[in-house]
Amino acid sequence: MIQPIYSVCVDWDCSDWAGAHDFTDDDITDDVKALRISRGKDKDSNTYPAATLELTLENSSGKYYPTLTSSPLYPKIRLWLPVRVQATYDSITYDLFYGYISRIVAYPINNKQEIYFYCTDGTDLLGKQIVTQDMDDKTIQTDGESIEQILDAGGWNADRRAIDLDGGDIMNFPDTFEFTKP
Amino acid sequence: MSYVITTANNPFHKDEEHPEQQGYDYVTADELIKRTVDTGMGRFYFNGQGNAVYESRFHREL
Repeated sequence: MIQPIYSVCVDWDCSDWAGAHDFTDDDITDDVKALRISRGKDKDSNTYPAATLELTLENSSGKYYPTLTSSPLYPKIRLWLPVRVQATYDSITYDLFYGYISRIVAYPINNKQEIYFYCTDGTDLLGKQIVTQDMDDKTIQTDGESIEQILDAGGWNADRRAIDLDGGDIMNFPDTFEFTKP
Repeated sequence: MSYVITTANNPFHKDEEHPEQQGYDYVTADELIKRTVDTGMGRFYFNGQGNAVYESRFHREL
């Protein structure tokens, strides 16, 4: 039976979360002891939480301590670095997760020697961007156009989105859309 | 840093019958997207390549 081959990369040299990311020579797969990906709508609270990636890394060498000056990665380890997880199965590569380091937890005790990265995707970044609405503007536009402009306002770059702009027009609530016969 | 949406882009209008729709002058971008999705009934997510994706339900079978 064919087993999937996982690849976990962190762009340690990233300086702009909205820019292009280069994962060349940033493969940390050999140090991964466990990973867990979670995504989807929270039906209980009716919210759309960010997808999360939990990484547990082998750190007996101290390589992943953000403040250890002898680490080859010092001083690159910080929050909001891009992380990518892929899996290759039967010669096909699947993109499983793409997000950013949100929290770093170190376990320095002798019998553990691990580092824990908690990563979230773009939803978390958008959750930190405050936008203002013009409540008096009642111009009709499609739901996709609304999403486009919110992403613009939130600073999300234009070349990393695939937005369906041809949905129905959103009107005054509760008349939420116009139905156009296909 | 705050951003101002100045163009014709507000899908959430004041509605006297639905006061819960009011009072959101300042809001986070993800909350605004959530309410757009709820209103437009589409699906928004970030895919495994890091792209923001929105699929309108209007392209599906009606």
